[in-house]
Amino acid sequence: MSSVDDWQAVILTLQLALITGGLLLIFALPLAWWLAGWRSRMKTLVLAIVALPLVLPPTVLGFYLLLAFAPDSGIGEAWQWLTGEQLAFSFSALVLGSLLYSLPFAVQPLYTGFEQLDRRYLDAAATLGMSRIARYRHVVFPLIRPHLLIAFGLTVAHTIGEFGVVLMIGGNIPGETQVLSIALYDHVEALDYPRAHAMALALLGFSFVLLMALYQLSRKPRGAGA
Amino acid sequence: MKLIASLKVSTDFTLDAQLSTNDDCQFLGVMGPSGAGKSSLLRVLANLEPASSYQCSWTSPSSRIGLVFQDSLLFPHLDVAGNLALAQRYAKSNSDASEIFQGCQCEALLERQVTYLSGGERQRVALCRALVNSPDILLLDEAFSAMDNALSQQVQQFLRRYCLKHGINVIMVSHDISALALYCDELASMKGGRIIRSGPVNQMLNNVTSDQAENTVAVLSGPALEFDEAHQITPFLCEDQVLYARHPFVEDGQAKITVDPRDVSIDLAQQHASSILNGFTCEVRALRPAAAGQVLVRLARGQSQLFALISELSASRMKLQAGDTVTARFKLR
Repeated sequence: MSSVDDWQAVILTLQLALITGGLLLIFALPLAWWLAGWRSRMKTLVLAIVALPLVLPPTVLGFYLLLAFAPDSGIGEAWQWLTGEQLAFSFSALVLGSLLYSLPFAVQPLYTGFEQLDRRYLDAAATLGMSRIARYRHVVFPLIRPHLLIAFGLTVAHTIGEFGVVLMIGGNIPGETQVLSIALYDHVEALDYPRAHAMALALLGFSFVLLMALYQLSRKPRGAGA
Repeated sequence: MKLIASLKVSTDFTLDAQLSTNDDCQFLGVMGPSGAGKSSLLRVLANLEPASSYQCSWTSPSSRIGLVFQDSLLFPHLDVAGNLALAQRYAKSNSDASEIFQGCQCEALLERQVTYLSGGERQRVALCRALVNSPDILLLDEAFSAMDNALSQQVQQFLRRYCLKHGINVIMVSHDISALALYCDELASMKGGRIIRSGPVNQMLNNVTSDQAENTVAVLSGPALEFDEAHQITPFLCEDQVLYARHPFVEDGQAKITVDPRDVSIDLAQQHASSILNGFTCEVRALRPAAAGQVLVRLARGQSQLFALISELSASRMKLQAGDTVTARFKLR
């Protein structure tokens, strides 16, 4: 495996992490908003389903996703009919898998943010004549900004560290599905420790810096939080 | 103004408020004990309760209904100037912001973070925010409760002037009966989700029952005389007698003060050497027993009426009865 492959793995991993982070925010925002305002006994059931990937071994999720994405399954077939391409062992499969795998990392911080949000601020915004969209733009999003950042950052970090699910549904195709964690595993298998070290240290440093940045950015601005 | 509002708040509390006022009533005061449904009424009128229904003769679907919340609810991620700018951005029409900032005494607060403001400062900014948003109707829920007395009077006097000038109708919920009596045209009393009484201020205050004696005031008014600079007192004429006040509410040359029945003493002598400046000669109209061994004495002269809450012992020692001419004395406020 060449160093070109290593760089491909870096780029692929970043692409996967950013796409997953972005898409998850879009899906998780309405889900978390709805969950925070939902008063039903069924809520614990939905919360448990959303949190499942936190405790489930990634290989379990990967195994079922592999079955679901197979060309002879409903989803696999539908995908092939829509795009003309096979879903299993593709980059799209990695994105879909990552969305499910990182879902709780996006939903939980947003859910907490919406739970803590005093919704009477929305009433105040409504009495000032703001439309529903304006209320979210000027009031809700700025007030949950720290939670938004944490949700995005954790999702990105978690996707970068993904291994089990990716291995099951993506295989190990350089430039297509070979992400950093898999490339690192390859180097270890090939006893190429110097490159494994370089990659492991880079991942370690990146994850640490990302988390530091997240905690720094998500600190409440001075005076906010009443 | 005609008003019908209903809302099922919970299984055992339903708001069912109906009211109609004179056409010239622009300031309506709403009073009542805690839990009477006053805040719920305002939320229904502000269209914040989806399950509610209401009709209000002043509102059209395009009316902007402003609400100043009891907790101010300033946006904590913005400073004072940011809160006000956002309200201006979504205002229906332009307002004279500098006049409002000045009237609400917010000019010195613009750069401040809202979380560092005191309760009274927050309330001033919240009122300012509602006014710069140019409402057609302004609802105030205990909007002055955290301000000190002098400041609260100044801001409320500004509010009344400003709203009269710009044709803004105001519904004001407050426990401060004195403020309601001074600044409102009519009053409504709520209990158990219903409006139990309503009418012009004097009519509402004059029909007070003895069990309400601790929570009522009288309004005395008349032409304001020249401000006494040396003593910092404003004299005014009430039923041909000169009364004095520190900060009366003066509108169109008429000074107005409220007098708490607990502050009024009754004196049988016409001339009396007393440090109490205000002596109002009047006639005892009625005596009614009140709580805790007290008597509520209704006093009147001409169109003016006031109450004195005195002990039964005093009343019996003075052999006070209806028809007596007495001097009601009360301290300068």
